[in-house]
Amino acid sequence: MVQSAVEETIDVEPMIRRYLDGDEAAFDELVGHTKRGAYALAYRWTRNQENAFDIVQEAYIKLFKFLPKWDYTCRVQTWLYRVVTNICIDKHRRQRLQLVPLDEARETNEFANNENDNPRQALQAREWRTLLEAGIRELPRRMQEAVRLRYAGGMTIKEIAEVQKSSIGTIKATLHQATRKLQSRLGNL
Amino acid sequence: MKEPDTNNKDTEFEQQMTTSMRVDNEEVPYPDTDAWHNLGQQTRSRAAQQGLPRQRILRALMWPAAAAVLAIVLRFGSTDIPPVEQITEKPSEHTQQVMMAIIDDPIDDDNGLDTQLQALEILALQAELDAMAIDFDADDDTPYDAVLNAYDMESVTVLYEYFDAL
Repeated sequence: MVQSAVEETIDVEPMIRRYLDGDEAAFDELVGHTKRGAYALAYRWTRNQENAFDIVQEAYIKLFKFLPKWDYTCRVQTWLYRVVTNICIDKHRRQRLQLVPLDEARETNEFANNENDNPRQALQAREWRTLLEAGIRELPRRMQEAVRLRYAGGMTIKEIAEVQKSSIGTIKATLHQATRKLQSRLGNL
Repeated sequence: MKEPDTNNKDTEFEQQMTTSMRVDNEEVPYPDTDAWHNLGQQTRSRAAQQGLPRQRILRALMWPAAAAVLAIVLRFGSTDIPPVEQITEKPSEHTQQVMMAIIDDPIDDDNGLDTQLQALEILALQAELDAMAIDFDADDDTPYDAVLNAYDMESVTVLYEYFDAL
């Protein structure tokens, strides 16, 4: 089962308050408590350590600048996931970041074993993954975002709704529409 | 835990997608570098290198500028109303244009100071939008549009609202 990316449930609000009261180390503490989830999300998107780190650092710089007007209406983790996702999509759109195709990134033993056991099946799987990635990239921004958060990030519908500031019903409809689109594209494989 | 779907075909397809796309937490290769271990400190350092957040600078400058403009309006109010041209400039030029409009605009006896203050509020909103947009890539209007969409408005609308308020 895919584990949720929203794994850090610690309350970091006191750290924000301490930072805003002048304790700079509180920001470091906040980062320490939230960076793994943000990085995991960026990595799931980019499949590249260096790019994922750059994205996370950019997100924290934005957070650092935003903190003086933080209104405590949402969790820092949710805010970070939203920013990380937006940065990923923006970078993707500008093609400054070459996303690694799913099959190339996943040089796992599972794939290697499949290839040895059944090369034809492995080839089909590889082709399917490539087409899936191409299909996802053609989806509208929020739909693409929801698909990646759901299937790559393993987030629940509720978590995605929080990140996208949307209702659970809307997310369900978005994912349903997305899978229909992708299914029609990949259905014959 | 994912919620069950009613469409079996979709469920099978979704499972296939998950298998292709998923990266479990234990598969994520977290960095083991100084930059990663001191990310908070690094972030503060990088932000400091970039100078104070532009939003804060603009916010700090905005109200003194608005106060100065208001003083000029009250002291040297003229009778020429500037024409409304089609707005195609960048956000910072919008703000400048609005500010110049305030400087050049008369204090109407019917509307008076309240109207001018309303105009200044819109100027502040425009400055806010500009400040937010600066945080994005200036060569890419898409994020700026996204900011405006988040406010459910267009930049031209903001400017026209200012003129309507006069």
